[in-house]
Amino acid sequence: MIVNLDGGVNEKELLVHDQYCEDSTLANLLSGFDYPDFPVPMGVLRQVENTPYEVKIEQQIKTQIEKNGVGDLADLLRGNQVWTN
Amino acid sequence: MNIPVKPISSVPLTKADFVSKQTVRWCPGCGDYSILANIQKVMPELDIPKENIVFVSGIGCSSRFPYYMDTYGMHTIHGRAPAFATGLKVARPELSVWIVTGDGDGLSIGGNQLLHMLRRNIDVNVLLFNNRIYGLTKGQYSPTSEQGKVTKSTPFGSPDMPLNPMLFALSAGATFIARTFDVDAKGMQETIKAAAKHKGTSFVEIYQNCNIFNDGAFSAVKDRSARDRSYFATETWRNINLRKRAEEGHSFKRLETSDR
Repeated sequence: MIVNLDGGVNEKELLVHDQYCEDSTLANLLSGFDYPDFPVPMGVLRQVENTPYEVKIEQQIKTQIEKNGVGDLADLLRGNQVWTN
Repeated sequence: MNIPVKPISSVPLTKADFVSKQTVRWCPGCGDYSILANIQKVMPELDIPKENIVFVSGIGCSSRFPYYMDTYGMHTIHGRAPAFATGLKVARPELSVWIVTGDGDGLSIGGNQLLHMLRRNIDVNVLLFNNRIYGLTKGQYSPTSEQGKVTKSTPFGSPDMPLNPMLFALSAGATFIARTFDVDAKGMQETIKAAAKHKGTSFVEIYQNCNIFNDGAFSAVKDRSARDRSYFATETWRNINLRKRAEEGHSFKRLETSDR
């Protein structure tokens, strides 16, 4: 996109895209852009880090096995622990 | 449980290694052909053993995709690809899992599935082919069809507002969102590479032309003569010119961001 800085508009007045910004406000603003009112953004709009689910669940299983042992399915099925207590 | 899996072959892969022997059955001129060619081209560059790649799909034109990739694949239940992919990734985290879906499969029938996968941030890649129509069932309006869309199921125009896939993904807590379009080979390949590297759910919306039931849905954006004002690429051109809007009476406050 061509940016003209004449006509009283200077660089500081331009909004700068930052795909790595933790706050999703900018990405939200960009995502709402649609033609013909606005040009449509292409490319990566947001890219932030957060631990994926499978990494956390794998760690949780490991921690609990270390703490409580592997467990026994037959004991679980014959035990008293049910969904409601 | 990370199970190290050695690649079966150490010979560098090429695009041909990802082309299956299946006959491609999309309508002549469909935007899906271009997307398929670009994905097959970029796959060898990801440096992932072919036997560790899985494509998962639901139902729809786009969901025929796994047949055409010479990788592992699953053609599953309507809208349920995220559930299959979630189970697969949790059980076999070393795999590179790709979901191919469409605007109907992903945002209507499977909207709930997609939402929960995004909020969990499962490390899979979602390619949502958005053609703003139900193509496989021959032209009913979809969740992304524009308001007033005249189709066989909305003969007097659709009264409802369309869903914005990017805003949907963001609202669900997506950590990676991107957009590209079917005939932008370079842009798509770069976007796919970035998505593949991201740890967490990568959500990529791909504007895809359905030349039979919704031809030209994105022509205003993709038309070469209009590109300087119809779209901008976030990687190439970072500055957004709000001057025109300011001249029209809109005021914008400058937002502070890091200087990347």
